[in-house]
Amino acid sequence: MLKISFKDLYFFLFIFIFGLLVVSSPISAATEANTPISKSFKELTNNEILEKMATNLYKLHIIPGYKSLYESSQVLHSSMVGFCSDQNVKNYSAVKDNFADTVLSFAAIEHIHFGPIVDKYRLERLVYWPDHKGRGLRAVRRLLKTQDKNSLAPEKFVEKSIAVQGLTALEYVLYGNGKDQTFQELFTADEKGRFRCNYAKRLTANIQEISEKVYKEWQKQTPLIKELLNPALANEHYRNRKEVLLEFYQSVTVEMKKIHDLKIRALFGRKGKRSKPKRAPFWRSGLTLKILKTNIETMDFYVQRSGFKSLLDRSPVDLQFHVTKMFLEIYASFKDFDKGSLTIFSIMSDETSKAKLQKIAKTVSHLNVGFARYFALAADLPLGFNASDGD
Amino acid sequence: MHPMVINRRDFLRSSFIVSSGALSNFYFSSTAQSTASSQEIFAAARRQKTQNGPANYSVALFNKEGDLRSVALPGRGHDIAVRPQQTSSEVEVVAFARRPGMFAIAFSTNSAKQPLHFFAREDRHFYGHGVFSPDGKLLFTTENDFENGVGVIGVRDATSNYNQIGEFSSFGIGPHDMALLDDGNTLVIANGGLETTPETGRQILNLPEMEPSLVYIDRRTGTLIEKQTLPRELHQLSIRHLTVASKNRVVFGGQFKGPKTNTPHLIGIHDRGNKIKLIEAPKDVLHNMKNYVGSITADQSGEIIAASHPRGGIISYWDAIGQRYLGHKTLKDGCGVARTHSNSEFLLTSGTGDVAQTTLTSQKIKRHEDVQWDNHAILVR
Repeated sequence: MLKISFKDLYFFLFIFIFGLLVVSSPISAATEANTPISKSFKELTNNEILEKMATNLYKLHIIPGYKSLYESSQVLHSSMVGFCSDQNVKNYSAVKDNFADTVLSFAAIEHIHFGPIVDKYRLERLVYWPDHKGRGLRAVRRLLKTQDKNSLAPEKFVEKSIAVQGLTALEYVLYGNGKDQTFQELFTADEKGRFRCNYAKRLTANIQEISEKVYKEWQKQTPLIKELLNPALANEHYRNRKEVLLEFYQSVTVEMKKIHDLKIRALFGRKGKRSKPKRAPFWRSGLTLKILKTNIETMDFYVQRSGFKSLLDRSPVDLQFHVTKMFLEIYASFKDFDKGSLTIFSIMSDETSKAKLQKIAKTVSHLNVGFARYFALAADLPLGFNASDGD
Repeated sequence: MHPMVINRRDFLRSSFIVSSGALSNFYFSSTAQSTASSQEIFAAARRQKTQNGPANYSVALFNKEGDLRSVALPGRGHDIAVRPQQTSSEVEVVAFARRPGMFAIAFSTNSAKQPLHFFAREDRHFYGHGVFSPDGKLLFTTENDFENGVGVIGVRDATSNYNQIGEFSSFGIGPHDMALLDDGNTLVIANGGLETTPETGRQILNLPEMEPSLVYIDRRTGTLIEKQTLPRELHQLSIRHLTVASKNRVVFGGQFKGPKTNTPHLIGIHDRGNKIKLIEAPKDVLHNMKNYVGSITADQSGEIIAASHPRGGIISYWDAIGQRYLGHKTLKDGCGVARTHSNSEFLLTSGTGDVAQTTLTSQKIKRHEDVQWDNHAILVR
């Protein structure tokens, strides 16, 4: 997983957000001819900067992100095979640790919704979430109940429902109902338990295979990725730098919206008055908060590594204070959650913690609105009033 | 981000605030061939910037000279349905909330009449579209039964404060646009196939299992007459907006929700009893359509179709009879497309405030910087 220090995070976030807010404000546009700020606005549309941004994201974010996912999935599969041949507490614990690493590696790159990951439903096959109305869970339970050995053959398995093929299915297989079931209770010493282990091995093999393909396709630069890195009029899909930038831009905004709408707000019920922690991603394994934190850290990393900071010419103290304050609040809330060893369940049963979680959602929302409003404008991206999220 | 939560009290308060009236500038100029344009009345929802406060949402009845009447909305609006069988001096329309909104508002050109608001049931939300029966007595609305994840058509009595008097299945998930065929009894409905809930806003919950469809329903009985789906490889092509061209040929515009690098044809036609056929667009035009049709409508003759693609900033034109692409024009964030009383002519609106009168060969644009026109525009009279 990609890691950055808090100091770096603080600095780059400020630079990025300030760039968005100031450089592209109506005032700066109106005074374009006279100020250094307008120079940055012009620079944003410069092909060289956009090219640098795409290259940076490719080299410093996408390749390391998918590499990490692939490597963690290899370790996960290996530990799963080890556990199935020798079932004990230590091996079970290793599988769970490696499962967490893989899920968090995925969380660090889950916002990429283009390229090899969307080919052949790989994204949904890796993580089937949100599982609206528990359809995916029912399919997993059905498979465990029928114990259809033939369905675990690699060529048959990929034809099964996409809901039974990835990390979300594996979580249920490893954690059951999420109430501290022991491995002996889940992986019983009978045919049923053996099928469960074989299914788990098929899952980890499938996760590894998907991760490997995605990583290697990015690495070897398939024609589509070549187009992404070298947009040209003759290309089929990516014909100019703005189209590429739009792809990256939407990765950030869609993920932030997902964090807000699905990963936090949905836990508060329709009118915000009910607690529904089981709507959270990976609640059984207790990884929800780590996923959220990873998602937010990744957004920061993604943004600061892309080159958006090139936009900045100068910085006003008040804005720095404001942006910094927003992120300090987010990280302070996560720190409080960590201190109290809180889970998504304990948070959702305590009004103070719930308020903190809601505050995180609100801050993410504010950042996203600023991003959509100012960055899209500054970069002249075709994201108008009627073109944002479809209707 | 999250859909605005509006309770009935807020709505009552806001909907009685009628906007201050017409914008000062003319919306557009008449083209030479549009002899009727001075009498034409259009309607569209919009977001309007204000001098001393946050922007507000409204729906306007307007002609080329500006607003005839504008009514505030508590949130973003979407499409407008025109009530038939009205007097020559008064015309009534119903504006719907954008999905997953729950409000709708009926109002007329008669400013002495207060707007009438009504809502979706507690366990339903509107999808933003509706259509009246030919006698103007019943209003049909596309709605989401989000507890059960199925689409429904709400039936309301327009003669009795739009009280809901019935409901029937849309025979699919995510019904969006809807129209009435010439017989006055057959509803054609675009089931987009996308499952959403108010709790999760506009997030799509069933991308892998999408199954859009085009269905025909007898509005008198709610019985299914015909249902057409797309081939499995196009199951993520959400059939979203439609228009009835001449001879009851249905022309629809889709939005593709699969990988962006797949670019299926987006304009489809359907004649009752036949399979859906997609009309081919030139490669470069398809690229600029960006897998997205925001709005679609037939012209006065029913033979020329205009479709908007706000993500690519183009309006495309199609021959409904010859089933072929005719051409396109550019309009940044252009989305609203209304027919006029002239053949081959359309009124276009955009999110940048443009109002354009356009034909295949000409386009006159006037921009209103303080307005962002929403998805749809409609010819009222």
